[in-house]
Amino acid sequence: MENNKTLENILAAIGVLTLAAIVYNGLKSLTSQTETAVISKDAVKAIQNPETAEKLREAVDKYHDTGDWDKTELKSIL
Amino acid sequence: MNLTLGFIAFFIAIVIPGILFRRFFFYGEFSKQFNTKDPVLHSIFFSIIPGIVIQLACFTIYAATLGFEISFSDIFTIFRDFTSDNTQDTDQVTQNFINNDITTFFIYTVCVFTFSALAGFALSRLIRVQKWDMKYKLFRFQNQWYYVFSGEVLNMKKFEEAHRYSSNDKTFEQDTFMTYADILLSVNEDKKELYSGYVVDYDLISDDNTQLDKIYLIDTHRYKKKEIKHDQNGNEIIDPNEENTSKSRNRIKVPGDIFVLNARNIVNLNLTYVPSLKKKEEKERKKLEIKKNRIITVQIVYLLSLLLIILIHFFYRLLPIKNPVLITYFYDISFFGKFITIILINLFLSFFVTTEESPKEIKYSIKYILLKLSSFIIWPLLFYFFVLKKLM
Repeated sequence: MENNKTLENILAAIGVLTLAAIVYNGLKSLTSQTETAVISKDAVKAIQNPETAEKLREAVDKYHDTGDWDKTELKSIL
Repeated sequence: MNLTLGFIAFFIAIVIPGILFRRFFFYGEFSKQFNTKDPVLHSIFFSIIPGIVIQLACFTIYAATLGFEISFSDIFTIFRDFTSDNTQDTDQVTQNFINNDITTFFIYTVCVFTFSALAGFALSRLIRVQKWDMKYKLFRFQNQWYYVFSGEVLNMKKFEEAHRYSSNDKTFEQDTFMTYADILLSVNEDKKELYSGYVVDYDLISDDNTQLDKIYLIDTHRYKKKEIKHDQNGNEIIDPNEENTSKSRNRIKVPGDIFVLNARNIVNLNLTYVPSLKKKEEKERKKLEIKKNRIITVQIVYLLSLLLIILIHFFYRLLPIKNPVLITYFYDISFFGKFITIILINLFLSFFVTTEESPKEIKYSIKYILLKLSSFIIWPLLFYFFVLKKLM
């Protein structure tokens, strides 16, 4: 009887922990999907590299002239 | 304001749930809409409506699931006794409530607070995931500058229509990688300066969160008017080292890491949204999957079935249950036991949902099912101890 009670308690604790982990993962996924940021981490990284930053500026200039991103070399830069 | 018992009851029952809801609803860039510097009466006023809705929802859910041991008229009497100015005698039912059920009331209140926070969190995320804030003005957050600087403004109906005409891509839905800004600043009445860079952050004026206070730029450049030099014959001297010789201004890099601009001096702002190719590719891949994959149909059926099972567990009192095993299950098994049952049913249903990406047919892999079985072996064990054993 006493052993059964201990086993039930251990199982309940494991169950609660598993549930907490499921809820935590769900919330984490939802938070990452709906995060609000003006600029992404990848973008900051790209600008911090002087070579990429220079190429990006050229692409923006070209976009200002042509009005079409497809005519820029954005794909090869990012 | 007198701190009467009625006011405290009103504050706990309505205002605090409302404040909690608003605190979790306005998250991230929109948290500026929930300002701790707001006047107390202003905060209370805006918390009353969500507070009432949450309290009514919790009350209905509690009545339909666990049920009250006292009648609704008794609840009304207790509330009246609490909120009255103590000129009337306290009813017997109120005295019983204070003596016996006050702890239950505190637990209920904590549950209401938790529900408020979760409802606020979930509702704002639902609005963002479904993009209702971009489709309908009703759901739009007050911080319009976030939509402008993040490029999400392009996906709003008005701008989307306008952009379709100028864009080659007719199924246009912009995902912005970063925002490039040309900013014309007024230094004094006669002098203006042009800066350009990538927007990393911005501040709003604390009293009025529709007004910009500062803009933070990186990779900033300043534009300077070219000094035109002439030779002895009066012809313009062109420097061969100068870039963009045809343009009237020179672009000079501003040294430093972050450039902070005072937005009060901004004359105008020209933004260029650099599209995110990675997100575009991902979206196109997902769209193709949805079109081709019948897995999605199976997943929807699975989700609806699970939702139905959860709803039955919450509102079983409204169902005409006659089976003795089901009666024992619904009325005698603990909340934890029922939770385990739902998880186990979920596990069972999830066996039929495959993750294999095959556009032509749905395949069920034994390896995948075995893996799931072994990783969730704990749930059948818990089900046996907390549910089955009690039903036998």
